Amino acid sequence: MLALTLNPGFVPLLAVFLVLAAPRGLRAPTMAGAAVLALWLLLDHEFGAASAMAQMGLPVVLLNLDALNRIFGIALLLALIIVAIYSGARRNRYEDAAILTMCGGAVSALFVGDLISFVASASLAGLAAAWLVFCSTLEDANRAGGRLLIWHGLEGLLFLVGVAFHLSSGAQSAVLGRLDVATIGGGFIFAALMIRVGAPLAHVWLKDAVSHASPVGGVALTAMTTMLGVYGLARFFPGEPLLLAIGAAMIVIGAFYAAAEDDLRRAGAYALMAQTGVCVALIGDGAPLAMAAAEGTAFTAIFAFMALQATLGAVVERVGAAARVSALAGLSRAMPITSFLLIGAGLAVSAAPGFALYATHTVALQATAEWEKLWLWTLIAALPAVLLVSLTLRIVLAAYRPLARPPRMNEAPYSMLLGAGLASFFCISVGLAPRWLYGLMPAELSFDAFAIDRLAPQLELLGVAGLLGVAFRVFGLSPKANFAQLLDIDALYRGPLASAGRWSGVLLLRAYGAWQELSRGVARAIAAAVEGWISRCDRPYATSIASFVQIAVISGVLGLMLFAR
Amino acid sequence: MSKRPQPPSQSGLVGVAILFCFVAAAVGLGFDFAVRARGNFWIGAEPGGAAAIGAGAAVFSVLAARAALLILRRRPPAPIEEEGGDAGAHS
Repeated sequence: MLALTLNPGFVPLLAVFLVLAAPRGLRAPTMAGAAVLALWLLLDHEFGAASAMAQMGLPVVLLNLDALNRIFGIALLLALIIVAIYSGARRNRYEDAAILTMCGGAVSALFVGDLISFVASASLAGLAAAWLVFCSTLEDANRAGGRLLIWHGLEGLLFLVGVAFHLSSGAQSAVLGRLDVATIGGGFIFAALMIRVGAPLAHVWLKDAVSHASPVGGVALTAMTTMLGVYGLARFFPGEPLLLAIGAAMIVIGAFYAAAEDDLRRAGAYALMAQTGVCVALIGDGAPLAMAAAEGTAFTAIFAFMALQATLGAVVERVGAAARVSALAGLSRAMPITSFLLIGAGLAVSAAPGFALYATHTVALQATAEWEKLWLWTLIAALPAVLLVSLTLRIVLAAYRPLARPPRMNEAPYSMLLGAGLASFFCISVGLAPRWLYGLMPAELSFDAFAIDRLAPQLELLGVAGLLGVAFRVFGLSPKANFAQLLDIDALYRGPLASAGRWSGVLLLRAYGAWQELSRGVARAIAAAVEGWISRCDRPYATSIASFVQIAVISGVLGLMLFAR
Repeated sequence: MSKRPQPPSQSGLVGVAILFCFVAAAVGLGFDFAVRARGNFWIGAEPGGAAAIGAGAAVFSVLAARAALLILRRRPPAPIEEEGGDAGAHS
């Protein structure tokens, strides 16, 4: 029982019951209080495994604290505090419960010390993510929630099969060590984690979920979904060469879509995919500095993208629909504080010096500065510039575009502004004083992010990219902001594959109907024949072949009964 | 005679953005060439290389946006013409 209270993830899970019963005014403090209590439990405990128990012959280690899960745990619990503050203005207790369940599941998964508990907690977090989307009142949210449920159901199935194969090969469940992708169990677990991080072909769930979730839900999903997958990869597959290519593909695909997507929350989700790709590729590198960079980038990306999604969520709250670049003109007059926060959030995701992402971006560049990893270094170096032009400049130039008749909207609710501002504050505070973050990393890191030979190239990169981005816009080379929806891989399974499924269903139903008709006709014919034969039994002495056969059969049966032994 | 209100100019905003970016680029390039040592692991990491990467990233962003809108834009569904679509128009 003592062990149950030790895993910090159980605190948000227990708080779910309080939130479901609490009045509206107490729900946000309850969520924030649960996060603070969980943080206290986390920071109060020493490294190492706590008490273990056995269930069905398998060891269950409910708490195993080390430097790797501590940095992710601190990030997720701080994120929960921001979400709690951000959620103060709305009334959906089920959404609060879903957020706490998702956070509790994710944090529990970080700190458990055995594979089965990890899979159970991660699956709980996945189901809660789908519940969070179902809670949204935006158009088509129910269908998006259903799709997310399918993705996480598939992920859970892969996890279960992987764990079953892994344990059946004689491995210890209580040892959370490196797994091998080449084994069947390891391969299935790897595939499940690919879904969780949003690897190419499985990346569509994130933008689908974030763009259909409520403003609060979008912020929570941004912080607590993909980064659990990054932790899983860092724990089970460090130094896996496949991850280098997968991470690079995530960077390219994320940057490509972020440049063109009109719905800004989707664009933000694609940008998060690109930054997650940086973490994945660094884990694939596997060197101590690269692992530290991956963990640091995951930490800072959580707050940078929370700040972006929180600010965009404030726009969604007032507009009542998606925050589109094409519909953002005049926003600075209607929502001046939100527009100002958008500038900060945009700079934060672009890894501008002084913001948190810059502090870990420089570590990532240092970790990959080798001739053999030249292509990865270039992708990581170019990503902030792409995000500056695709997201920050697009948003700021659209929001500050004056209109003759600006839209009539109120500024976002105070709690939303406070939450978004707090996320930006975290970005700036970590960005200006990154040493405490470096101190949290598993590898001892003495790094000066503001050394002139690191600061100058970043300023140069962003400055030149920004100048060219503005020039392209002024000279009309950039595409104009028009309403547009882009096709992604989900168009395949929601379009042709869904149609093929529907057609195959219709065909199967028709085949089944034809089979039923045929079997009914055959049964009818057999019944008629039997009925005719039986009716002839009523007249056994009539002169016919049938009566002769009947008498012969009856005589034969009687003879057998009388004489056969 | 009434005049339709004209949208205000955006030149001030663009000017501020250009100013910020120009200052960042100039300071970055200046310090990069003045302080950083040469002989890095490839030409992109040499002084001035970040500017080239930034320019490439800006071009990539524009090309990616154009290509995505050209190839991947979802076509709006064609309006369905129903028989008697104007039924009830006279009610």
